[in-house]
Amino acid sequence: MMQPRRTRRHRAMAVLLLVVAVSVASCNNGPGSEDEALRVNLWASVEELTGVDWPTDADGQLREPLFIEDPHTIEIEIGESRPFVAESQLTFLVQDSGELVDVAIQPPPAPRDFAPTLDDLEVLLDRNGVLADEAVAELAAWRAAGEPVAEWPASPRLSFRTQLAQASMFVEARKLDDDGWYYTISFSRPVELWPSLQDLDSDG
Amino acid sequence: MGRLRHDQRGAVAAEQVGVFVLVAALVAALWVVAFPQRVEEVAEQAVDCLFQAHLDDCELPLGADAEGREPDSVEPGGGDPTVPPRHTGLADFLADTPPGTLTADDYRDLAVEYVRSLLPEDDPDNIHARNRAITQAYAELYFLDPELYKWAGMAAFASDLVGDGIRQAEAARQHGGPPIPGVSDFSFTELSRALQYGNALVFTDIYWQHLAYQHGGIDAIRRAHDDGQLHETLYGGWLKIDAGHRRGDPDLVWEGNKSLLFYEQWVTLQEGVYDQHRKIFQRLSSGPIGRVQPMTSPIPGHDVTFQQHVSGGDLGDANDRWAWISDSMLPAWRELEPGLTDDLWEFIR
Repeated sequence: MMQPRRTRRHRAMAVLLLVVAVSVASCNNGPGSEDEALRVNLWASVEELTGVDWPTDADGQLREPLFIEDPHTIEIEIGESRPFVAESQLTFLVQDSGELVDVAIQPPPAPRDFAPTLDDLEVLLDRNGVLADEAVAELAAWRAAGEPVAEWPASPRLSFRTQLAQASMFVEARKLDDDGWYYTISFSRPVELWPSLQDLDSDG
Repeated sequence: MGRLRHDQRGAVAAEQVGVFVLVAALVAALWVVAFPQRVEEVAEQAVDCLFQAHLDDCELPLGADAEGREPDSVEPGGGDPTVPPRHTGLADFLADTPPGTLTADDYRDLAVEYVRSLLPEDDPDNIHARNRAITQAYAELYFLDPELYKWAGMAAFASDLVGDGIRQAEAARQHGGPPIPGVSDFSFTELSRALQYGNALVFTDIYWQHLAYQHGGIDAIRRAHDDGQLHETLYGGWLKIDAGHRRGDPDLVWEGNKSLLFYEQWVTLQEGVYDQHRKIFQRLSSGPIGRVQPMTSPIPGHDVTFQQHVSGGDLGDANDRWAWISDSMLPAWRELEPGLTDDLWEFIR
């Protein structure tokens, strides 16, 4: 939107006010973080989360997803299976009707080269006992093919999904612009088990 | 445990304001001392930028239309009328794609091939032409089946706005001048690259799925999912779109499109762009720039700015951004869509 031109005095005053406003805004950064492990239980009520309270809106309704972006340790309980434990830089939690249905983590502290990213991913999966056959095969295939190179606008990306005992695990590695590779791991209820979608699909 | 950004904002205590005013005055004084010969010139440039007085000389990113136009005023269309498909080059391109079982990678390749075909042969690396090609590709996707591809229509408008942002960031980058503390102390080169990368990233992540559905139906989507190429959220979205299509249930179609938008915002863009450039988007949305030049909606006729909807919000914070997109922008797109098809058609050359 076009604005009327200001005089020089107005401009100088505006700049000073802007700097003041910036300084005032800079005190809105709130409290620091607490060092506490995050423990989540897939398929359980979000009220059972340990280490974080699920935010609600003014009406007390649960807000949509939860995005936690300070480095932290997360322990993911998936039914009777052994918990999946990782250091995460970013964690993304999704609830559906108050039930935790999706947990995504981003373990590497910084983007890095392709091979070390795969090494790190393999170690993490192995340490958590979920280096299933499919995962082994996928990672071996990624290594054998080497770092993908893509023309604009394609962005190098690799992913696989494997079915754990009680969850679907989706692993994705991708390259961030020129900054290197990172990966994410997400645990979800298989879509086929979502009651509403199962109904829809069976109507087919 | 990590803090939650949306819990970080709060009212500033009155006594803190006084302290920071003093600090600000000191900062301003130091700044004047540091740049004595240029302070007036810089101040003039800065305020001209902030008030968009010289769009050609010094433009700020992500602001109003590059030509200074106000958004078109569009009367609400009432939502969900029948919008007929229109024939496009993409329809021909898909018609020429032999039937058969294609993989997710095949569809990704098709998406890349098509958008590259829209680039000018004599200047295929031009960043603005690339943005226009993506915008056009989205618009053509929408017109394949406007009753289904709601995300694509919205994406075309969003990509067009990103194109304005790229032009403005490039103009500011070339303009130079010292950064103003807390206002423009970020790299316009970084901003331009972030916008270009985000534009391509969203295209890469989502476009091919539409080609898969259009060409191979829900079976192609299911195959991509089963091959580990599609996240559950996206798969769920396509199941809803497909079920809505089969049932003639527009609400379900919109819900499915919202799932695509959700993934785009919370995963593709948050991880790939916003989290990599937090300072820039904080400056642009909740800093002084955001106060003077609010973030406008890409949807013509949707006049609710980000700052109006999320007072004090940070566009780089997914919670804040999603509140604006899902509660204000998406309903507006649904309401205004019938009156905007000609605007979308203008993206197609």
